[in-house]
Amino acid sequence: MNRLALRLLLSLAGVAIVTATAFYAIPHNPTTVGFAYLLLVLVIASNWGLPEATLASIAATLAFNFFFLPPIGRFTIADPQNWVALFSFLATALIASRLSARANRQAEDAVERQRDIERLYTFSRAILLTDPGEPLAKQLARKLAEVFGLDAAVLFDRRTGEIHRAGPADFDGMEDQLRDAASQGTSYFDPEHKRVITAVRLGSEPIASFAIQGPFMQDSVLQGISNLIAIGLERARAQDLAHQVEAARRSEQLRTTLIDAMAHEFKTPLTSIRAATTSLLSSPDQPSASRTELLEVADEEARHLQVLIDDAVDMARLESDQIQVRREPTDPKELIDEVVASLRTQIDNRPVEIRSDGSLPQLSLDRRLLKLALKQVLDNALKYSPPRSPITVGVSNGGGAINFEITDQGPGIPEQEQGRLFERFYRSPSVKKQVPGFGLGLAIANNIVQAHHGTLTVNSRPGETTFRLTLPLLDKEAGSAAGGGTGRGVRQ
Amino acid sequence: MSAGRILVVDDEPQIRRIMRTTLTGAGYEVDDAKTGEEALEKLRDYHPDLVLLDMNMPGMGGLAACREIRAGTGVGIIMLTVRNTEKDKVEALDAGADDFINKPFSTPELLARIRAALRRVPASAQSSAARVRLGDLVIDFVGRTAFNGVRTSHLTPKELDLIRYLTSHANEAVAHRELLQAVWGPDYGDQVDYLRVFIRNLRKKIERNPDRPEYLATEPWVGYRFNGTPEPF
Repeated sequence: MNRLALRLLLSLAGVAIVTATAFYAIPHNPTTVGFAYLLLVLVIASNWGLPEATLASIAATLAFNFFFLPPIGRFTIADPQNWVALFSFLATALIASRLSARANRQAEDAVERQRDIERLYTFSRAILLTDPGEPLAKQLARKLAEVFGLDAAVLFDRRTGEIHRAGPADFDGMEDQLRDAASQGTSYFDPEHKRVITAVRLGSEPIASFAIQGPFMQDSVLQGISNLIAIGLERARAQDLAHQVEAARRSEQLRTTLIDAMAHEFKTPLTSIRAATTSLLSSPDQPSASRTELLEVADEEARHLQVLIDDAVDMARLESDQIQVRREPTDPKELIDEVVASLRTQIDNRPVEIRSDGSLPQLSLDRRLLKLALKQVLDNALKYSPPRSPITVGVSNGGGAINFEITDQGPGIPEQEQGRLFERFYRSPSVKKQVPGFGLGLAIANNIVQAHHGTLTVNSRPGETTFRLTLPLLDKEAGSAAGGGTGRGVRQ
Repeated sequence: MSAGRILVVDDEPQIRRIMRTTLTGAGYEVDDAKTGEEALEKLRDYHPDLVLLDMNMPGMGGLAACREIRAGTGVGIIMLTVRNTEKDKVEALDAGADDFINKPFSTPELLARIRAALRRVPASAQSSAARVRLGDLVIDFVGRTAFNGVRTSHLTPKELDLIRYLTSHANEAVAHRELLQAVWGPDYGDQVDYLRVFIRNLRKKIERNPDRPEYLATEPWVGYRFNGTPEPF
């Protein structure tokens, strides 16, 4: 309001200046003065607006009459021709100022619309470049407030039932209206607080609603925002769906791989058992030496099957649960001997050399778990190296830790695969067809070692691969838990 | 005199033990190998009548070993596999196996399949000829080869049996079942997928264009027919 008053005053001042200049300073006639006034009115109209120009027109008409049309110094006009001149002037000034003001307003509208379009464009880009780690609706509310310079923006996503708020101003409440808008498609307009609530529709179906507080916005802009939000939300929903489908597909694939590996792993001893028993059943009169041999194999393989089942149960437990570490004092060398003995069948007369430092300190660890871990690593070495090549198992004391090292003479693990070795279900593409397995062994060994605060690392080049399992000697947990058997949970 | 020499190829020591005991007990002479590579090495000196080959082995693996063995000799091959899918069967037969057995198997079944694989089709008067000829095609039953006018190929025992049976019934439609039972044995009447693979392999060896067979025609819904009468020479 103050700005308008100032402009009105300045318009009057402009008329006064032209009048004074013409009256006192320059030689003149009524025509030149008239044009000078007209020029002033046009300048005011094009820069400011209709009210200022109208006031200036009337003031200029009065001044023109008083100072320049005879009789000068009075508001009367002697010559009827001058009446015509005066009213022509007034009409011209008014029409010109009107036209000029309209052109002005249209230009301003165009600029405003261009800005709206720029903002909508920025907003649409923001929808495309979202961060997958955060709910899209939340990002949309923030971007909306940011891009349109709003005091507050609130977005209600009907699908999740969540309300996301953004913007510098507090904008509490209105939740009921937002919900109504999102379910029935109604709109609210609160001019007092400059608030608008609009439904977001996909087709004819409302899927969300948003409320904004801030500068006035054209309906078309609100509609544009609403459409962009609808597209954004729908796109996110489609992506979610695609992710779910992908996840389902992967878990299905995983299941197939597991079942395949299990089938092979369990069927191997089963094959020996069945072949032995059916042989005994079909020809009961074979020599006693071969009967004994068959029964021995069947018995050994039944035990093998039991170990496999125990291991599978252990693995499933380690897979799904926390690892319970039950520590007891253990001799590292003894542990290695036990592991090697338990893999006798798999070793199948291969040279396995055990190297150890003379005197090794005892370690406090979970014997059963660590045996399982070492077994996985040794089994891995046996599986992935040539059938008759030697394997070295070393145990040494160094760097405040006990180091177990298992070295095979396999073809080596490509560097790009080394990083993924300890991932669950990861199986190297180059061997997974030939060597059966779950892709779980090393992941589980790694989990067990980490639960003991140790590390499991691999160092591989063609012809030599070493897995190193390091367990710290001074483990705070170990001190308090030694012999006590208290468990410690480690999240997977 | 043994019933035959068998080479057992399996990476599982216990399975080798069982096989050795069982097969020796059944009158066969047995040797074993842990891998496909070792099997190929052993084949050079030990000339078995049959190879029992495990599909899943470290190293070159069973399928590759089967292909290599087949490329060099016509020895009978039975593949042992844990998986029982159509794809595995076709892969095994395509690689040149004569038959395959799913693990776990029963010993009587294994022995029956071994007998079937070692069985030879009794030579009829027609096919008792050492060599027959039809146009460019030459089949040498003694040398176990086929010449299709362009190149000479080795025939496996089962392929040889098939072509012997078909040529001895030349110009007749031979039903799937009849062919299967004649070549593999009485238990094999339903294994039409075996036939499909073997006929395809056979066509590659005797036809100039295996996609448009001249000699080995398919009789839709019935079986196969050998066109033309090959002459002994």
